[in-house]
Amino acid sequence: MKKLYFIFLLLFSFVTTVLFTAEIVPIPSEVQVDDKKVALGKKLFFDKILSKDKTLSCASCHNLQHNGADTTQYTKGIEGKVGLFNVPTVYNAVYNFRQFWDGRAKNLKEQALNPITNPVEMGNSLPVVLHDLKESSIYPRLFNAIYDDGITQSNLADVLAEYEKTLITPNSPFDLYLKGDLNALNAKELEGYRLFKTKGCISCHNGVNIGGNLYNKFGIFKDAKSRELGRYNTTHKEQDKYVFKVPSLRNIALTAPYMHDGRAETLKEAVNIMSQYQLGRPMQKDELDSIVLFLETLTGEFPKSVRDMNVSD
Amino acid sequence: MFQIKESLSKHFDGVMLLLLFFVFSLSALFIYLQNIDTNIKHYYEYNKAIVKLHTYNQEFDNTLMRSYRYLDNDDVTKIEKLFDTQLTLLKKNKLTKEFGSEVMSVLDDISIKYTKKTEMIESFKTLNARITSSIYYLYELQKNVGKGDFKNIQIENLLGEILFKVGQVFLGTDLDLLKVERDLASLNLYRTVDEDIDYFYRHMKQLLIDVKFLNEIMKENEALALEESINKMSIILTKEYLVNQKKEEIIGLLFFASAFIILLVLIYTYLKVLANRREVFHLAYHDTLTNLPNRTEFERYITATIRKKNKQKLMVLFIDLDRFKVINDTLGHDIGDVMLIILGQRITKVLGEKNLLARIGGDEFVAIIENKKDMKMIDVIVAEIASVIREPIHIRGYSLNTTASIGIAKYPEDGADKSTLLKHADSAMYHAKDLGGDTYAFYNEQLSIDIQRRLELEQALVHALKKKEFTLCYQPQYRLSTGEITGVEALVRWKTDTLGQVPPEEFISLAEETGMIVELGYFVFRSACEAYMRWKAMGIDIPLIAINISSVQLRQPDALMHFQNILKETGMQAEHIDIELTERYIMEYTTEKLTILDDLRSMGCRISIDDFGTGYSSMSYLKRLAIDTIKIDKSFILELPNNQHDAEVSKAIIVLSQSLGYEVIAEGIETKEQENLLKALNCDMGQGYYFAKPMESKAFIKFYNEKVKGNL
Repeated sequence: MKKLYFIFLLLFSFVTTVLFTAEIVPIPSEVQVDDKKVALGKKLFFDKILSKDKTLSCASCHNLQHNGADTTQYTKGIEGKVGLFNVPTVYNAVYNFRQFWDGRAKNLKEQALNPITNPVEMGNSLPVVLHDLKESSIYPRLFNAIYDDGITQSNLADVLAEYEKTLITPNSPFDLYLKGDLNALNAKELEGYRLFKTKGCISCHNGVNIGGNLYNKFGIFKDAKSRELGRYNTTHKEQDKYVFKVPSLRNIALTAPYMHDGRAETLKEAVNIMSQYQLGRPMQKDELDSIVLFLETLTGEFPKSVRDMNVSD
Repeated sequence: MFQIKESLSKHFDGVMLLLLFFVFSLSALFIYLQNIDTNIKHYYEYNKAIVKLHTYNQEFDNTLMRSYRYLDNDDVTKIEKLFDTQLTLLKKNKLTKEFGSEVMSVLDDISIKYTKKTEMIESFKTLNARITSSIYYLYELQKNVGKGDFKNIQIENLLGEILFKVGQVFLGTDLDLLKVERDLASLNLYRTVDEDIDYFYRHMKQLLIDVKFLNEIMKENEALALEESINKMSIILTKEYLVNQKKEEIIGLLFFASAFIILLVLIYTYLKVLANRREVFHLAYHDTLTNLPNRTEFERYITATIRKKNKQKLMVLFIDLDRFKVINDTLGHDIGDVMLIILGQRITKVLGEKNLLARIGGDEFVAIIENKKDMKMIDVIVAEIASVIREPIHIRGYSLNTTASIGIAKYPEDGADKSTLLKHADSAMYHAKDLGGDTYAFYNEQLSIDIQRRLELEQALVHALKKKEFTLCYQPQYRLSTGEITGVEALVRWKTDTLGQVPPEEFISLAEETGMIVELGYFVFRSACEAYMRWKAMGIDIPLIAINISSVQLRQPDALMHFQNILKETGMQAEHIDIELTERYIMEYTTEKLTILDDLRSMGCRISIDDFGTGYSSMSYLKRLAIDTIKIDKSFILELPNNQHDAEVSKAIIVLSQSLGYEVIAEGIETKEQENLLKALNCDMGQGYYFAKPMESKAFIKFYNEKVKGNL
């Protein structure tokens, strides 16, 4: 028996060292982009010309001043149509391994045109958008300055994606801590970080975007009664039912409501859902609070361009 | 078709076509080689991409090995993106075109398999996250169970047993699912006892499901065999590369072979061109018959020599064969040609290597004497040349004798350029010819003056008839014994506007050379006949009128007819005409078998031999001819009676002629003494200033009337 126990202890120490070496990496403070494309992308991001009835721009649902997303559970598209998912933030989207909750777009460029044609979002069609852009007084010149072929579907996606690449939020207190500023987090927050790791949150929320780099099923230990089927819509595999992209936790304190369907109004509620449905382990109230405290340290600095807009507003 | 072929062969010869063929084939090879080179370059690109795909796939497989350990998801995402990039690059390349559709289908296969693989990896990532999390939690739970209030050795052992089995996966052992499930079934009984045990059970249950999935994914991955597809691609490309490499080698060999053949062809052609050029050069500058330098080469050579050896002396010898034309005409060109060849060789031998001999015309040779020693003894050299020419030449049984007239011009004294030198040498040669041939003459200025006059005369002569510049004079002939006029010789006189009175000695030979003599002869004949008829009408009745006829004219085939026509037109009777011929003509006449003299004589004309004694006719010829009169040349009379020798010759001629039945007439009687002597020698008739000068028709009429009246 003692021998067994000895081996067991050995294994435990091995598991703790090997199993949880998962790491969180700080966001780079800048990205390499083409400034011309960014300028044009930004213009388009804020231009309602992209929507069918010219009432919505990208920025309508991705409020950059606030959180890069929307504060409602389901945002309203054109003609008051209601979306199917809670709006994910555009901030740091560039670091997500896939785009959309179900990960159907491989990258920003693939994603960029989707909301324009989604009938419950901008409800437009690409030929119309391209036509409108070509008819406009400014866009042909701006596109021609960058691309030989001027206004095309691909170029439109390209400039939007290029702009979105700049929408990153570096220098969160936690990033500063990771970079070596040990005072950036206080004791309670550090306790939250410890719990974040030991409770197993980090097994899914890791990497540069603290999440956003793998899929998982929503409701592993309990049926979450999700309406959407998630990745199943793409792969049509039984095991992919209710599988969604694990979202990034960066700026999580700002992006309520939570979950793909915005079912959780507060962060604490969201962490609680996670512990029960995903981790399948009970958490004490103070443990939840600690983790929430830690999560609040993940709010970074908005890009300078956005901050400047704020001032001018 | 044939026309095209013909025009092709007209513009391109064999070598040209061969070279064109090589140009085309080498260009084609070059383009082909470029193509292959591009293929090989692309192969390297593709291969690089494939190697990368291979590496990435390995990394995926490595990832899939980390079933129970932490995964760097960001890293996996990065590799996925890299794989994607390479795959897109490969797809964008013109793989199908260059490496065949097989590659494309394999690429599609890779693409499909890759999509499946990414799905597997995503599922794997999900399971991995769950499993690692669960295992961590299980160990924590086990610790809690051990520490808690509730103590049950059986449960502890059971948990230990399960975790031991789970832990073994880290040592590489597969999880024995059946055993763990059995253990879990035992644990199920205790779930309600402790909340931790319930959680342990639930996580273990989930773990088992996940591990099952995980194992399935591993199997799927093995079955998927993306690696194999990538390898297949690699093999196809390598095969293609080897084929291309082989092609490249073959083309290299072909290039070398082609270049070598072209080189050989070019060398061959070049040698041929060189030989051709030598031959053409030789032909252009040499006479084909004698192989001596020709006129062009002579001119080139002399110009070059004059320019090169400035102010150094040289001599130009103009060698013209005498009477070569006769040989050519009578014995044929073949023999004449052989003769020229032999003579060329002989003269060359005399001249030696230091001097040049050229043949510049039919029987005209030109030598350039440069050698100083030879120039000093030019007389010896020329004599030597003349002598070798004179040597008999034996051709086809003929033994031919010929001589040459040689003219010599010196540089720089006689001329500063090639044409002057040649002209002057030519003049000197003509002079030598005038001297009777078989001799040589140096050029001097007088020759040029003579030639100049000759030229002027020649030109004036052309128009003389038309301009009516010719007139006739008449010199009476008389019987020495009685003093009665027996006849009158018609003598032609020429007076031009520019040159004045031209003596007959000058213009008759010229007219003979130019052929003018024929017309002139008919003019004289007609005029004489007309004059005779006029006189007759006036009552002047002379037995004979003597008319000089050139041998050239008598050779005309239609001469007889012309004479007959003139007689008919003028009403002249042939009996009153005495045709005077030179002695030289008699020789030619007998050898050439002409009949005109007999014809004229049968018509009634008398025939006289003029200037008898100057030629080399033998009496035996005379015997055969139908002749009436012999005219002793005036050169025999000139020094009479003092010159005993001439007196003897004259006497001999008179005696011999009379013995043959010919009458004899002496020309050029200028003194009483001469007349007396000739009378004493029994000469039949006389002619000369002593009796009467040649005079115009009017003067003659007057003279005749006086004479006749005087006589009467």
